Amino acid sequence: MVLVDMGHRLAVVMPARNEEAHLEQVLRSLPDEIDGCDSIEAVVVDDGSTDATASVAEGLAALVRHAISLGKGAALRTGCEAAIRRGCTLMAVMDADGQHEPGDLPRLVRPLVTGDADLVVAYRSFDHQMPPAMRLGNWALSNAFGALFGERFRDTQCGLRAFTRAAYDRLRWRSLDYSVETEMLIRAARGGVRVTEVPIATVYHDQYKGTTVLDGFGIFANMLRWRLADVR
Amino acid sequence: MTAIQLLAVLGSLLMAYVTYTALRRRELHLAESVVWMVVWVVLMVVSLFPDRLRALIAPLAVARLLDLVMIAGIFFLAVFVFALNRSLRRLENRIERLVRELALASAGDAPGQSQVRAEHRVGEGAESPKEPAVAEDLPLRELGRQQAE
Repeated sequence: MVLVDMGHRLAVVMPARNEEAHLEQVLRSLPDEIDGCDSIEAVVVDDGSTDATASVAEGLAALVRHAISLGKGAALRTGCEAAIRRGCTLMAVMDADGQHEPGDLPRLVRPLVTGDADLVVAYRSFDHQMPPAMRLGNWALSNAFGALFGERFRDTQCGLRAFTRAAYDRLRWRSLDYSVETEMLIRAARGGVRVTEVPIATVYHDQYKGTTVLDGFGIFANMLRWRLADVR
Repeated sequence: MTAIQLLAVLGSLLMAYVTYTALRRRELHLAESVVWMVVWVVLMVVSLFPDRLRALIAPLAVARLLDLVMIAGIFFLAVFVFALNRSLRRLENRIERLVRELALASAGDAPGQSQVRAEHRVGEGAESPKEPAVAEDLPLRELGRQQAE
């Protein structure tokens, strides 16, 4: 049995762009306590929203606002940088549109608290809950990742993850867009980061929001680029 | 002078004028303007005096003058697109850094209301912390050549 120091400060980082419809519910559903964490705080990065996302987040989370929209990857990095400045030792990243259940956070964070992993990646079941186009795209990209990089992940595109502050230094991505999930796994593989996977529920509120088919092709193109380059 | 030659000359003169006004409005640097002016002048010369340039074709092993113009044009465009791509990438990086720094600076250090959801302090009189569970039931994968610290 491994004993690790308690007293982690967890930041739940959520990039958000025009998420006024779901954000409040997501923020209010975050757990008040998680074993092994002294404190939990939400960090919402408003990525150039044109609706009331920022107003919704104020008072419920630490709010960071991009003056213009840079993309999910950029917003995640800003959120993680903000979390580090606030002294957080663990970071969980999740979507602000309700596609990730806050109730999964304790299971996600647990391996980090016990010291058994540096990065925890959630995976969804590719069942009828997932729209067919998303199912095909996620399946294709996950398998392409395995073929290109030799590491098998059940769901390379799931955005619910958690990692330690130390792991973040090795994961620090450059992608501004939806390729961030893929790049994070590549950097984990090449940086010797200990990874574990946990299953989560599949939730889709809006079939057409988030990644599109074109985004999928872009992600695949980036995979090829990273395969050829030495991404470290 | 044929009709196509006339069109080419007029087009080149027009582009030379556009380049000149762009330079005056400081939309282009001097060096860029000079390069573009050279391009328009070369196109005009090639259009007006195609026969005089045939002397170039043989040493370059090109079958026709038009082939030479096409090859040179494609090469020039490729270089130009490459330079544009670099410029755009640098701009993108700068914008990202700027937006992030502005966002973090305006967010500040002070915590807002209700943002720290739970703070547990373990001290005298408090219950002793639970023993942390070991995730024996979760598959652990260590990727890459190095072990994590």
